[in-house]
Amino acid sequence: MNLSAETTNAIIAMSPLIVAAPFIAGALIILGARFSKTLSMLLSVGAVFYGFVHSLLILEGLRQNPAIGTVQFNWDWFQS
Amino acid sequence: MGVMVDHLAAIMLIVVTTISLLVQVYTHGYMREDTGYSRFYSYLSLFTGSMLGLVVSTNLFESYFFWELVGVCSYFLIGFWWHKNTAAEACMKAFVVNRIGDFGFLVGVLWFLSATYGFWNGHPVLMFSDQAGYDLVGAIKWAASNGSLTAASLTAISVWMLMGPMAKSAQLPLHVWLADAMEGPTPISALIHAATMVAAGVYLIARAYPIWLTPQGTTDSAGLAIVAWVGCITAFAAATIALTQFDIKRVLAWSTVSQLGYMFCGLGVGAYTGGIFHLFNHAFFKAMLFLCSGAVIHGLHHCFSHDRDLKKRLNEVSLMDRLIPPDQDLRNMGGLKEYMPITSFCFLIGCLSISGFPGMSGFFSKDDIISSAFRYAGPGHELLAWGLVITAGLTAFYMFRAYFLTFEGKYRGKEKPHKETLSVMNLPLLALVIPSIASGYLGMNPGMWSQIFGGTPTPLPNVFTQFLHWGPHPEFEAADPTVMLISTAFGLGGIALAYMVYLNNLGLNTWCQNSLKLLYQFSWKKWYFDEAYIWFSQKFALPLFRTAWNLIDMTIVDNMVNLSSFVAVGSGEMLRYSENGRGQWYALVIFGSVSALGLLYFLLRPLG
Repeated sequence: MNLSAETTNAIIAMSPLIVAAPFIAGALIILGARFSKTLSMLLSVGAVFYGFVHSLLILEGLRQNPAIGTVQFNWDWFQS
Repeated sequence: MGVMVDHLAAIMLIVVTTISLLVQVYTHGYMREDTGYSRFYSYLSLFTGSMLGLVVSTNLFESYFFWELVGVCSYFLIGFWWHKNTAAEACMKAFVVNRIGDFGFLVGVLWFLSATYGFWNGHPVLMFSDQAGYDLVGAIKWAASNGSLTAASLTAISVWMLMGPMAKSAQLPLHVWLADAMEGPTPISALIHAATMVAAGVYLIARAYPIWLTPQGTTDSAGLAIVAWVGCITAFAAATIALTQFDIKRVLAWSTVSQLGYMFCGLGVGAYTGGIFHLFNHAFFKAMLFLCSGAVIHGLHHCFSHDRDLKKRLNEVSLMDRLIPPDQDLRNMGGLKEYMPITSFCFLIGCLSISGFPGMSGFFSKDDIISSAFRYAGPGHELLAWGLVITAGLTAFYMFRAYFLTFEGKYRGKEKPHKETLSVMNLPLLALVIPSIASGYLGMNPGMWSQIFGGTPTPLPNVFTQFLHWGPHPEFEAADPTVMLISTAFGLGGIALAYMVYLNNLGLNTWCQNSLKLLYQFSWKKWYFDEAYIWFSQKFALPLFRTAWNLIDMTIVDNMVNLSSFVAVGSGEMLRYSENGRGQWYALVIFGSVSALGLLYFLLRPLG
């Protein structure tokens, strides 16, 4: 699969979701999904599976586009 | 706060999500009957999110935030079976030891911030990387040039900060919690205490690497030398402890401590890529080994579950009683290859890999670190390198001891285990076999064959090094063929010795226990670290805290509270006489007060 620099940047731009997905899954399980074992498992596994696929795409994108060194987004709440 | 993705983060994201995914699939089989099944999945999700947050952190404060979240999740998961006394004690122990490390980490971060405060000047502080140069490297250069940071103070900061990784990655002397953390369910041991959370310490050193370098950015710093020595001593000490343990999970836990020592040492001797490469390989084979141990425990559980007295006793004993659950005791196993062929095969692959058997993943990364240790120009580098070589031999010995005692020979239990069938618990094991073998080839030196077979040495950056390296250019990873041969010989020697002791039954085991009784006890008692800490706590720490409590809490705080209540009671007693219900009296008080205020105003009026 060919991933251009633009595509890779777009994939990385969505990387906060990798972190957010398990938190959302965990919160949903605590809030109510715990009453169903299968739903708890599916939410948790689904969130991490999404993270796995997204991480693979990031890795492949960075491998194909070594010029993309570091990409970061800052929400500057705390500054000196 | 933000998100940063670079090559190092990309590798860690793959490690965390892969292991977490497979462990969560395995959990479905392992925890199916547990009443806390859903709660367990919620903790797993929270842990995974926290760990991923740590990986993509942009600065040290954000890292610290997720670092603590990861620690809290670990506390919840170790104490998941809180009704077991040992689990409750183990999670408290992990929490306390990690707090000690985190305190040092926070002191280091704050010290570094105060030394570089003027540099950030409106930019986000303590950034790991920034295109405009407002990052750790820029801050150190700025602070070094204006004299607010010397080489000595940078070393001191790095040592304070190192306490965090030392506790999280269970390095001496903050290593005591990891083996006891095995009281948690086995999927947790695989996810947190083998592959991800314990690797966070190594990751943090790699992420904030400039802090451990010299102010000029070279690797010949005292900070890195300390990292290397801590790693080497831990690797050796943990390997010697693993030699005599009988709890299958604790053997693996001590091997984790030892392998984390290798990673520390790799980063310490300047093998940045080598250290991370070992982290990458280790995550896969160690997670597989832990999941195999879980499969064994799960398979043997029914053989001992009818003994209710024992079960009750196991819930009530303390950690220091060192009572091993029978389904985790290597002495009750043996011959399980016949009943659990898939688990046995996967465990064997894991053992070969961790032992550095040629062609397996551990072979490439371990030799990379050992070769770098021999090339290292820091203090006592030869001792450091030989320490790692000897540890490689010990690793092979104790891992194959565990393998032979578990899967080979005759079954030593009373009730036979069930035959293994392909289940949801086996699939993650089989999936992990592939990276446990293949991931090593990412780090194979392309010029290795020409070096070994007499050609000219042509060191070239390998695939992993090309992807991840410190500084502008890839390191020329050239594991020395001689070093490779030596460490492989030690590894094979360890396997052969384990075979002779535990399968050939030459009586060497009994001889060791009798003739080397002191050394055996020293290993069995884990170098007496727990006893020393308990002694220190009871003799010094607790009396000191009791004195502080008496002085601060009982004397100062209590008396201040008593004084405030006395003032309230006294003033109330005095004022109660003013409340008599007589209108004339109230009118007099109002008149007197207004007169007094008027007089006060007259006296204090501005003159002129």
